[in-house]
Amino acid sequence: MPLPSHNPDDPLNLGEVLRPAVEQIRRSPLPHEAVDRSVRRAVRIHIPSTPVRWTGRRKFVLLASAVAASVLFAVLSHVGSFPSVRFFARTNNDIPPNDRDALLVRLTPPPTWSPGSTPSPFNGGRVAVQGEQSERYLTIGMNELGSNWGDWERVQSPAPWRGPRPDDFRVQASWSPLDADVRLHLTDPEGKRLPVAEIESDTPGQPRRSQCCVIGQASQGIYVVEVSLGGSELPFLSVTTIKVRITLQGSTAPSHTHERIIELRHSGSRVQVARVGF
Amino acid sequence: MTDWDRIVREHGPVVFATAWRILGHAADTEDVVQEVFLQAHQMQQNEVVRCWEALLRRLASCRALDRLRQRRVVVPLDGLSLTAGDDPEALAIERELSDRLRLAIARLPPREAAVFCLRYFDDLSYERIAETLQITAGAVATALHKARGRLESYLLEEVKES
Repeated sequence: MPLPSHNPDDPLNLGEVLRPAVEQIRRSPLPHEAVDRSVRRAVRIHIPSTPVRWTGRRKFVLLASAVAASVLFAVLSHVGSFPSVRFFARTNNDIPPNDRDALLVRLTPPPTWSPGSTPSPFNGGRVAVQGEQSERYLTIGMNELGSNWGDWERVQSPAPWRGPRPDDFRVQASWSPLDADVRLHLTDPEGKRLPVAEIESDTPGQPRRSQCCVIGQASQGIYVVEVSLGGSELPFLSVTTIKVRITLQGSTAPSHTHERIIELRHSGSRVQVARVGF
Repeated sequence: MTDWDRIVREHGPVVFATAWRILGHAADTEDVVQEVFLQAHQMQQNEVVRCWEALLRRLASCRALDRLRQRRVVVPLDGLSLTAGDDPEALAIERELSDRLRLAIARLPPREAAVFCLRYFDDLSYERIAETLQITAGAVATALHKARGRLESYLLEEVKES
């Protein structure tokens, strides 16, 4: 039996074998009842939106996020970068005048802390004043967050250095490195700022080496000595060591020299380093 | 009327007709129509359907061909409407002819079977078949040519065996 050839005039382009069957299928009428029934059933199809399923992957992501957040919180709290402590006062200007005899800087510990709780390390800049009696060590946070209970205990004001009124009273500051922009401030008992002289350096090229203030006749009351770092602090100078020397000389008072070494790590704030009372 | 109602009422008869010509069995066709709309409903929740007619025709032809391949040789009684003037013998011969063609279509590769049914049962152009099946018009022509050849040889084999 030869293979049927396709008739080019046939719109279906089908051979004799296929065409009758195709035409029979095309002619077969649709069962309209079944059509209507199918459409009615299809209209009723309603699939509720899929609820969120807590699959294993979702649970894992949630658990991992919680662990990561806990670790981050613990790390930040441990290194002191987390704002768990706020400074009540940062500079002398923030301290009420009637409170200056008590504290230089007052830290406010969080209410949940107690002296016996584990302190967190102090991570901020600090100002250290050494040389006081009984190795009192003054730590003052400046422009930094983070402290602990131990710092609170150490933040004690150096007691005013009192003595008979001298004939000659001078305050002198020197520092290292020499490039640091150190300022010396002196205030008399009435709160008036006293002029501070710059002393030419012995080394050529160094405009200032130390600063000095001489008071001929000291008044009755307390003189406040402060230091600060200027804004021109070189970026690589992380710590500037400042030595403040207070010398009293007079006919009635014995010659006496009082020295303090301060470490300044941040510029801008004035730090009280000594008070002298007569 | 919601969008879904409109889609079903607009395209439901077309879906039924596509499946009906492939299957020739009302109950099977109704099942296929339900499968098609169920699948389409699920798809529209996950993606934007650009052309409902093309999607539904594609699903209908694929699902109907799947069912055709799974079907045993049956003698459908529904849809065979006899009237007083009909010749039962002639109807039976015609019925046998269409059933043989459907069995032959079931032996075709899926793409060739779908292209053949859409072209000759639904009377779609090459371009619309290409759009429906998401293939090129050239692929449609190739598949159609192969399908015709295979079907003719299948039917001739049956004639020889009989």
